[in-house]
Amino acid sequence: MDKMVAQFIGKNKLNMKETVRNYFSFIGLLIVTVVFEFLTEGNLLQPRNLMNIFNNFFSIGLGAMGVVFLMSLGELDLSVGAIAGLSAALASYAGQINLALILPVAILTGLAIGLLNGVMIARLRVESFIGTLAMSFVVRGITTWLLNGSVGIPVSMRVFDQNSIKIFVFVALLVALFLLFEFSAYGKQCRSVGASADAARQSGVKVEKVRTMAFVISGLMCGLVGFFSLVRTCTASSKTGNAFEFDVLLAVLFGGMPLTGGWPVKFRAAILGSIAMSVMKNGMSLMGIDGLTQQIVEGVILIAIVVIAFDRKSANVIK
Amino acid sequence: MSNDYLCQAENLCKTFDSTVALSNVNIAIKKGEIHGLIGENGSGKSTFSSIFAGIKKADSGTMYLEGKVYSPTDTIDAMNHGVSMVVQEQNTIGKISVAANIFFGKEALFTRAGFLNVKKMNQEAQKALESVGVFHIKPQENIDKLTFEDRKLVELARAFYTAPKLWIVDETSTALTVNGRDILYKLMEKQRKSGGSVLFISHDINEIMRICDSLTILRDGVVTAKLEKKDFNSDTIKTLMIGRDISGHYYREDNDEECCGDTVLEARNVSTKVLKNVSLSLHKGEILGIGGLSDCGMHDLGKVLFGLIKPSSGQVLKDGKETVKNAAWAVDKGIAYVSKNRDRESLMPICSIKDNICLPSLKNIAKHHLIAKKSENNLAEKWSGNLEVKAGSINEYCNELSGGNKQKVVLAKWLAKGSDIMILDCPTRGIDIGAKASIYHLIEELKKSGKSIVLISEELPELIGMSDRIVTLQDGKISGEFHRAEGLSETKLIKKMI
Amino acid sequence: MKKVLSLILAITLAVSTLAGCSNNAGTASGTSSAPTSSAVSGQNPKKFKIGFPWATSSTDPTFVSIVTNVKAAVESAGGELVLVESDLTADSLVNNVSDLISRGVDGIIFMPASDSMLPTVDRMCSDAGVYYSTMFRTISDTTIRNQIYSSKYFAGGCNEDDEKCAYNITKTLSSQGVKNLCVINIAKGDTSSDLRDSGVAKAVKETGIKLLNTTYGITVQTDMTKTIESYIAAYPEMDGILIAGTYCPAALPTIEKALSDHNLAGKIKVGRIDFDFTMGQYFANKSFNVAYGGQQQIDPLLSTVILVNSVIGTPIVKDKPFILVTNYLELTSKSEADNFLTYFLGDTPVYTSDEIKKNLIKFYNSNINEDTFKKTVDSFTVADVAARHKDLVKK
Repeated sequence: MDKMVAQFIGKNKLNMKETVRNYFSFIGLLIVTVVFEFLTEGNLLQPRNLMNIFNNFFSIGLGAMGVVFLMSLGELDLSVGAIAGLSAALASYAGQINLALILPVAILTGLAIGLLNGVMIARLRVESFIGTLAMSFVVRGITTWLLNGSVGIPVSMRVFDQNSIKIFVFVALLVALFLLFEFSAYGKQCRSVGASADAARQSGVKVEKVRTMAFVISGLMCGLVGFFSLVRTCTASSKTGNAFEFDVLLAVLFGGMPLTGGWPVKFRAAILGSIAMSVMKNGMSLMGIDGLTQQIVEGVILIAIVVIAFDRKSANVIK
Repeated sequence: MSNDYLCQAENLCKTFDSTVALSNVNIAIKKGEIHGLIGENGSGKSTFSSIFAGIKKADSGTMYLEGKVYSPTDTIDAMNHGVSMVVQEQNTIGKISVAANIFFGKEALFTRAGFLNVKKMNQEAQKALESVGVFHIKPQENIDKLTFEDRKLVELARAFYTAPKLWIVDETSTALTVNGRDILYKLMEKQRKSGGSVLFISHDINEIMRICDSLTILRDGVVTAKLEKKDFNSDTIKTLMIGRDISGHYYREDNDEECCGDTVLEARNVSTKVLKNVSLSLHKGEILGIGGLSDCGMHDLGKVLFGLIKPSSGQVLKDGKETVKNAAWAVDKGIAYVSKNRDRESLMPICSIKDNICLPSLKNIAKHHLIAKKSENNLAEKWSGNLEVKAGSINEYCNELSGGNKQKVVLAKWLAKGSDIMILDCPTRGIDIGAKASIYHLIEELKKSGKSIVLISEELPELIGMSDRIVTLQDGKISGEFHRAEGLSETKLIKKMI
Repeated sequence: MKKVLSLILAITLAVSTLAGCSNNAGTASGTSSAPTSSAVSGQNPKKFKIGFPWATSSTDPTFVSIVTNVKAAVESAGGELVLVESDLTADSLVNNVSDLISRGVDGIIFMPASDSMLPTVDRMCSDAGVYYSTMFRTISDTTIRNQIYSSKYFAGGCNEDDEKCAYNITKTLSSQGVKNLCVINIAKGDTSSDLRDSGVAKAVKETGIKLLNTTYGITVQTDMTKTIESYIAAYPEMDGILIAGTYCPAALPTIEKALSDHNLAGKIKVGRIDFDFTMGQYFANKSFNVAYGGQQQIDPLLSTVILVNSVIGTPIVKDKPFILVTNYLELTSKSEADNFLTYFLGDTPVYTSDEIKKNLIKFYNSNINEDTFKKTVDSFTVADVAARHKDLVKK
């Protein structure tokens, strides 16, 4: 009995910050939604606008789910936008040969560049921040050079830009990736490598393989993002996926994703963060806030997140 | 308030979540004495010392320093009050010079007009090192190039430079070799002679008995005894620490040597940067001890056997036929490895006990490629229970556990995996005797159940006490082999090691 | 607790998302009848909203002046302008259009990022019954052009003959004595960029100028400096630089600096398509020689006027889009440049709301037709604006 009481008291002592951190993604999303619902005088949650939010959320959400794995490794992928761009570009060329090639080419392109990223980071041991940044330059360069402008695909391909298809694809991927991350050996190995690569290796984890795979997954999702961007606009241009990497990064940070990787990484960070981010962007645009102010708001919020959500004490300086 | 006492703690209490770490602890340290603090892992001794050094804050209770109320806000404040601490774990700052480490936070002393006078700082660092009797470390050297022990010595110099009134030495001696320990003992003696005091925390009962003037024993956050030097007795202390009688049964008691089983793991003419043409074999049910000086290559040998280091020539064979390819392969085939550097390599610190235990077994417990929370919990509960890991729950993070419990988690993960061959590199490093005894007991149990064990250790009594066979290494070559027998002495081994 | 919370949240979101998709079709079609019936007789047309996706985060005076001019056009007939931030990529524009439609606008004016995005926009607008018009751009793809031009909801818009403009400015440079020319252009793939390239190519062929190099897509000053310096190093014979287009801020001062660092300012002729606000100074010291532009205010203004006319039910031409080609103005002197700065990039649009209401909105004056617009375009010069707005704008 005493012990139970002690435990109870102990639980209560969990400080405010701890609680905030645990529920960060939920609290963030709730606050954002309530605030903007209020500020936009109820327009935010209008059914029609929800579809706008979903359309905005769709690509960010796909990208964010893709980077969860590599972020749990403590890595970054700054090439997601560029990969989406090249996937769309190659797919649109493939579409000129045969429309059935569009989807496979988009996915394969993403996969291939993801694999390149993976090999570069896991085998050649390039820092992911630098490696993927460099890769994004290379890929963007190739895209611009290839496209020499912009290339379109037949408008009939817009049939894929249907909410029913998109919701189905999204939910299917959400379930698959959620299970992979939270309930499969691979997902757990990712977080283990992020927590301590040495310990993971010495526990029989094939560290290089796990790292490579994470980048392949990210690449694959970017391929899909490229595909859906293509069927939505029926255009691939050198600007497709422009700055998408920052949207994704911001979204996962918004969801409380720790940059250090490891076990504190939660899958929900990607989803909730992306929703919150889309709601925020949409809300600000509904309110008619200009782009400059939007940037300032996003920046301020990012700083606030880092202050609230990250346990800077656990990032040790001392070895 | 008696003037004899340099510092006192009255009714200190501290709880972490649901665990009571200290409960009404009273400790008084006289001026000019070396006061020992001993207790099992998790008994609260490190909590006590970190409260005194300003790292943590007590929930209640009062501390006095020289008769005045003392409540340090942080380590710097504690240092300004004359309380300085050297801890068990490594506490140097990487990638900067030795001198910069010694004067970390005190750079202002050498700063003129915003510029740091590196030369002056190095000179002063040289003096600081010499004053603690260290002559072989250069102040301008990068700290990362230093060995573990040398880094520890740098910490000693740093702590001593401030001329503390109270010097807290927390389990530092386990990290040091004989030579390093001598330096430490001399420093403590010097501190005592100059009228200051030392709070010395150690597992090693013999060391405590030899050095300390008085002793406080902690068990489960409660002071169980205060002893003066004249009352020191090894068995009494052990009993007071553990709360049960454990004298005698410590290492294996039998003297039988197991030798004739099948060869399960074998190194054939293995060479690496350090090792030179090493051949040895491990038999089923055998405990093979490997001893030597710290840099003789025995730690590398452990990694080679596990497939972590690829030999430049020669090969490692499992069951006489298959070559050990890499660590992942080895784990698959039932080889387990516990690193000397437990916190860095064997364990994920910011990770629950459960996830640590399950990591190697993930594929085994997966059904249709998915892992149910329940099967994870079952596996982790079973093995942390079997090994008596002391923790609130299996969801607790490992960095909150004591050294002994961490090691139990590491062993639990391999037992959960069902590995048959265990390569244990210094499995009892930095662990108190209670946990040590249970680990020795466990090793013996494993042997009895037919598992084969490679025990790499820097502690000779441990090797002699546990091994069926001991191989000594010297400069990367095998220098001797000893079979289990009564009367095998440390001196015999040492002759082959140096 | 956590699980329960997440479940509730997930369900709420799923339900609201689904609700959104089922209701979408119904509500969207409801709005379609609104704008067409607004042309009832009266003092003023019915209230309407025009959506405009634009890079509102840009502080570039030209970008800002475009908003000013679009706003004047919308307000001339009592409409409300709905501005949304966009990075002007096809992706973002498509999302912007979808956003704007759901916010109930009656018309959308935008600058297309590519031809191939137009069918998508057309379908969205047609489904919702929202008029749209484009500015600055033509449609070069024939299939797409035919499709869009036959759309009921495409009101039309302005564009410039980029090819002709590039051709003209290259010829002007040639007449100023340029023999060896380097070109800087917007990123490949931009419709204007490609047309300007071919205009330059045509003039080069005709005049015998040697085209040394073309660099694309410079967006920052450091890159501009590097490009100019490498031109100087690689082509000592270079005597002319043509900026056929760039999004680089302060392009002229950057080039002037790079040239004068090598003592070449004034020796190398510099021409640029699109005006900017530092031209005057460089015209004065002869380090800048010819500029084509001035369309960046009139084009969006007239494009919006065309859209507004359609939205309020008085289209300029019936049953087909009204495509208007605006002219580039040529500047070669400081006084012209100064006037441009004052009258084009200030707070006043090139035609004020009142002027538009009087001269360009058919609702108020049924005599307005295609020719009115063509005349407006032809009479539009820097001097014309200066004369009309002399009293409005304080120097």
